Amino acid sequence: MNSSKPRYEVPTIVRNASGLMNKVGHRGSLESRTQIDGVDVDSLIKDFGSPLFVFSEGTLNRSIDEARLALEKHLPQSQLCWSYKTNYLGAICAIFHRSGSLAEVVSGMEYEKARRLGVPGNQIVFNGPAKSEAELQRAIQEGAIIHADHFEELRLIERIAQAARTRPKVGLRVALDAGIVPRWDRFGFSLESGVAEQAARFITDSPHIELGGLHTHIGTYIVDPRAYGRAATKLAEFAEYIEATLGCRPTHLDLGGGFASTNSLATQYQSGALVPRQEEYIREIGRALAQQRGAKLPVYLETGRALVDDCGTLVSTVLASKRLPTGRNSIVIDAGVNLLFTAWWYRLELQPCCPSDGFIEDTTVYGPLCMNIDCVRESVALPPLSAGDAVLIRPVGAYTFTQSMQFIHLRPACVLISESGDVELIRRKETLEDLIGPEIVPERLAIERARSNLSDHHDGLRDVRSGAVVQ
Amino acid sequence: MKNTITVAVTGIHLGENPQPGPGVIRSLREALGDRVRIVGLAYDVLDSSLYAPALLDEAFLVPYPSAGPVAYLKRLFEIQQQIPLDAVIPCLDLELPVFQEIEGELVAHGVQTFLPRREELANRAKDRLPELARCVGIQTPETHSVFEDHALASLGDRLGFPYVLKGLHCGAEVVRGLGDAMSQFRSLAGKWGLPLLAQRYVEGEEFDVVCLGDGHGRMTGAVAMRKTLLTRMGKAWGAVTIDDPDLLDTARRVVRTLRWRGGCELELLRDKKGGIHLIEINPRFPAWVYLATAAGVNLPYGLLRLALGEEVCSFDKGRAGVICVRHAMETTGTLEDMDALLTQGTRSSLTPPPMTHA
Amino acid sequence: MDTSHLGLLAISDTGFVFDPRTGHSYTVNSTGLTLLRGLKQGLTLPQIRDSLGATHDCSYDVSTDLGTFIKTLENYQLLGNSGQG
Repeated sequence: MNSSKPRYEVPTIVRNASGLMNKVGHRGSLESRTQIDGVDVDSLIKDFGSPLFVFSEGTLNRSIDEARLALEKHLPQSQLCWSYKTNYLGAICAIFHRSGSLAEVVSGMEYEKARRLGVPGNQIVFNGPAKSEAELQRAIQEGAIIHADHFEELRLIERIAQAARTRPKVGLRVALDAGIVPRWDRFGFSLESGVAEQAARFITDSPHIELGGLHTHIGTYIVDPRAYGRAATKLAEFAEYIEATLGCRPTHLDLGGGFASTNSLATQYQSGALVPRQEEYIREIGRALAQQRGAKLPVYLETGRALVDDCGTLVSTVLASKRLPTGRNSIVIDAGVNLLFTAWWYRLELQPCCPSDGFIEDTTVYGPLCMNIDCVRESVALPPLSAGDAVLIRPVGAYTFTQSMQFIHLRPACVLISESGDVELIRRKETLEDLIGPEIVPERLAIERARSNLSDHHDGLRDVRSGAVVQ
Repeated sequence: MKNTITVAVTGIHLGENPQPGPGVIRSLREALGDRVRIVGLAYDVLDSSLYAPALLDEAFLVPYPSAGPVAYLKRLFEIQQQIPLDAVIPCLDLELPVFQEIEGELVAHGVQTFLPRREELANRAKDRLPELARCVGIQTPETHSVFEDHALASLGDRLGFPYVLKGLHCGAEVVRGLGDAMSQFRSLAGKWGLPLLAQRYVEGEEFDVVCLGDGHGRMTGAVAMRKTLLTRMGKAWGAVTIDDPDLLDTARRVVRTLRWRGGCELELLRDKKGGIHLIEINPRFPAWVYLATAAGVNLPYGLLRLALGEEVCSFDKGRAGVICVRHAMETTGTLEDMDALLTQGTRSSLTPPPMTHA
Repeated sequence: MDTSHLGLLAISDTGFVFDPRTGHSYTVNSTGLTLLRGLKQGLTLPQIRDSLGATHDCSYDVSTDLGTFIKTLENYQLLGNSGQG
């Protein structure tokens, strides 16, 4: 490339529309960025292909440190639990476990994943509305911290415990009104309607199980930290009430997750950068619990999104730019909703890697799927981009890789940039084998027979074209 | 105060929904004459003040608040490089969260502001008014958040028809029956999002009060007015200042309770028995703020002095009976103005600030 | 190609374009400006293409980009009467 000449940009002209005349209006999109944590995006693509998930260990460590400092300050008796579903790439989980987090899992698969990463059963918090008998048997045997979601589960656990002649502790997930909407009342036992008390009584009445902790998870992307204060107050008061009426003290309080990350919801006007910091949520919980008279119980937190979202970037490449018949500009990139399920409800940021002369245009960003639904952004201000230009999509650390799918395209590689700037592969690019490995094609459909059927069919077609009568 | 003060002001469009910037600028000019240099911060090439005579000395486009604090701060620093700013007065609701976030950085670079803090801003939100009114010891119409249209019928039973449906930030309609409520719910929710607020309808006379709080609980000054002409959106097109000690006392108590820092507008209602109800608090000066200046209470100048760290004594009460009528007229510009604003992002007499793209 | 309307347009060095017949204004990027100026001077598309290629760092034949740009100008009715059809 001859660097003495200016970069060629597709010639573009746009009509100025009243109400939209502000070239610095969407300032963020104008900034180009050629590196992630000091590593050239070009070299990442050259070495690992595009698209590519890139995770920054430095960003992740800073975010974990922020949470730990806040916990030490406001909730000294607390324990961070890493919410697997937010991002269960082994390397990411390992970073959390190295920093002392327990594992918080919501399925047998996640449980097994945590065990294989070396997490002992008694350091796994097992949540979720769908735990099978076998999964519960194992979790009980290994001493996992279980929070039951419904009565069926309580009865199942009681049966397992009776058969195994053990007396496991069973916690309760509690649904409560923290003054926010939507109110998550589908999970756990409702506090306000008295069902949670019934559940606690079920446990204390049973000769086979004991009461564990009390857990609540009030929602997701909560922007009002005071909701956590209200939830903590209610949960702590419930714990005191149980102790007073049933004579049994819960082992811990688990305030769940749901702290907002810096991602911007599609429906919100303000930038996600303005959401409360982790400390603001933790401070509210600390304040609320400090006002309680009863015993100070250890507190578990399972915040996922706020910890990990910022550390993830998806590197993508422009495949084509197209002027639509309406005159609107659009680009096609190699990462779509197959990798960015989160694009349905978040306004993901797109940052070009190439410099621009400052001209920007409202652009629709399509993914690579041959599906009309594959739209990453309906409208985002971007400079003119050409095939081969790289763009960075962020933040994608939370719920993005775990919700990505092998639809039409296989999933790309994931790399981790270490604090020292080394780039390590943490998940290789998928191959067709990963997709078809579990498949079984019945013998009768084997390719030999299929081929002969196909050629019969073709012969028939030929007969039709030549005018022969086919019976 | 320095000999010449440079102040950046936002919210400078006087359109169908007029913004407070021009009233703030006129008030500052009235107090300081040619000792103030005004830098207009615009969100669009067609913001009206850009073309109004004798209002702005310099003008720059700035990012929309939705672009986030980093982009906004970066642009202000670019402008600061060209024209050293002493203070910035944001005049729009949606800017406040962004300015709260960047206030520390601005002050560190010599740009003063005087804003409500996060907590005060949250405490004056429409859905927290009942809590605030209880603390202040005044009445406020019973208010409920509404998330689903099937709650409207029971709200009708509870509040009685008519009641008022409002958007969380903007928009309000009086609904007179369930059918009306259903259709207004859809239209308001479509425009302003959920939740909506359902507020008991209180019959009475409406008054607005503009005030300035010093952030320690003292109200440095306030002027009350009654609207005399209304736009279709219910905004004041004409108004007259009044002298009602009860209204000002209410404002004083609200400012004290919130420890409000900066300008704000209270919407108050006096019922038939004379009781005062708090309807709404807007967290910035209103578009009619110049009326208060004309009545002898120059609150924008007071705010600027507080921002610059100066001692501000309490204002005397304003004169009653000053009238105002908004006077809309065409201002004109040239293609060169539009060219410069569109392509350089400024209509400055100076060389445009470098815009970093790399 | 009828480019008779191009002469009427006010085109500034900054990429601001004003059409006095319609009152519409436009913003154009630097390569678009080169193209617009070239057309105004009566250069042919291949000539413009070659000059863009000589002055810019580009790895492909940009003829199709120029074609799309011309279509956009036609849609905005900036070229001439025959450009509208």
